[in-house]
Amino acid sequence: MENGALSIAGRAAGIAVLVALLSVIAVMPAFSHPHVFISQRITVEFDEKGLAGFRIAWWFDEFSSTMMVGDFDRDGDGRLSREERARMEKEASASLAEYHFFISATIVGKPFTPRYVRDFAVTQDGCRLVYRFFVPCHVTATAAAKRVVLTTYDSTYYSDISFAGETPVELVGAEPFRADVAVSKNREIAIFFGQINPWALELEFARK
Amino acid sequence: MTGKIRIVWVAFLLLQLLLVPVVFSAAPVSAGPESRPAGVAELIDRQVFSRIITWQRELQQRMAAQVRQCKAGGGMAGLLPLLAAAFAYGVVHAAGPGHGKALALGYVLSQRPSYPRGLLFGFCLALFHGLSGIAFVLVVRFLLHAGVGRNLAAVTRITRIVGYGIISLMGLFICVRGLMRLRQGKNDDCGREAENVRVGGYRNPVLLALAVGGVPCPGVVMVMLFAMSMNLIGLGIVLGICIAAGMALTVSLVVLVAVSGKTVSLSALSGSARHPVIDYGFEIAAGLLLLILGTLFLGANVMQS
Repeated sequence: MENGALSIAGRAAGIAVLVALLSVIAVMPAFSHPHVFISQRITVEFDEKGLAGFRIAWWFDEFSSTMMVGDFDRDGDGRLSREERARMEKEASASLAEYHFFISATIVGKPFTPRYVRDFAVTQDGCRLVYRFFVPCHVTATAAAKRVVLTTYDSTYYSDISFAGETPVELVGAEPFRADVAVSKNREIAIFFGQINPWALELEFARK
Repeated sequence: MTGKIRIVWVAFLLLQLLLVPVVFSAAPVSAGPESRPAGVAELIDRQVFSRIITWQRELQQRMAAQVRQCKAGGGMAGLLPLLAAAFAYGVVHAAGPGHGKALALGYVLSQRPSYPRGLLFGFCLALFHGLSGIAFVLVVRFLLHAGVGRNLAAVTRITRIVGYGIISLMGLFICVRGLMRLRQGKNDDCGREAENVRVGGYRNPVLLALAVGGVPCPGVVMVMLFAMSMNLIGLGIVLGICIAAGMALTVSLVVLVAVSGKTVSLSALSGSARHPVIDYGFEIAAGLLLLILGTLFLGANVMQS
């Protein structure tokens, strides 16, 4: 039989534990966890001055592709005609712009979020929908190395973005420079109630 | 419950305490990036979540391939693995956020159901969630001839807002009733039954599950659409039912945990005349938590465009 003081502490601890359990389960709300899975490839493009920008390609999973194509496929043949594609490009780029194309970047420590992109195009690769676009990002190369980190994520986590297994990143036009690129999880950003770290591309480059 | 099981159970509950800082480190009202250094608990938890997400992605890919096989004439041999994959998908999908777990918990707290009743509620909730996904696709596509994907995003947002509203209200009810009972309980026992009738008239588990589970499940919607795009609407419906069954399993487990947890924890604390007060105190705290969290997420969703 416990004495008075112990049982009070015990009860308090018991309540704390129950509340903790409740908070763990209850706080997983009807917030959307990913229904769309995007496989991403990025080409880092350089010009004569330095970094020119990032050419991004997103492959959507089959289920999402079918659903999205179905929305625009007027004639129901499963393929997007030129008009259907044009409409989709217009709507997609407009709605993505509100989320700055899921991109959050830092250029030498300073934040950068794109407001617009170039060459936004929608194509179908077999049964998968593909979005492609170019993010202009001009950074002049200097003798000292500059670091650019590009993180792609949907802050609502309705879409999950991860890098493709094969050739996730490529460099184009980097011969005049010393450039290193790596893909890793950005541990400084946590989305979805601190549960998920998004993927990021880390680039370091300098003039040779 | 035997001593050993009790120890294991309390240990399990204590482990949850590790997750509390993770949970409360979230700032749902901000839509932008949140910077925080990773702690041990966070790393462990992120692994679990990442694993679940990866499983879901792979299951989705496998299901897509299997549906294609069925279309190509795989026959019965190809059907069973596909149904199993759909069931597994439902289990994993419901393990992620949402899918009525908070509501199942709220129900357990407010109604103190027996195991059969609690399980029935959890089961029905998940089942209706899946079935309404099927109904959603059929209605929007065939009756309204509209685009499902576009509407899905809008409907998801609306139903999320409604869902959080319900969670908040439920939390409020539980809180208020707990307070009222606390006052009553200090005097006579007869007042308690009268309270039950006055506050919270939602006794029937199936009806409540129907009201709340009416939210269409996007996962089911997508599988349905995929099957329909290959003219396999019957298969789509069957897969939707399998997914719903899988989700029902997960939610039922949560109910089981909740009902057991409450019983065990309270009996572990028993021993004096103050038991009813602790009982109500727990309910009030739980109701308050549901109310606060429900309102927080409601606000976050309303603010999102």
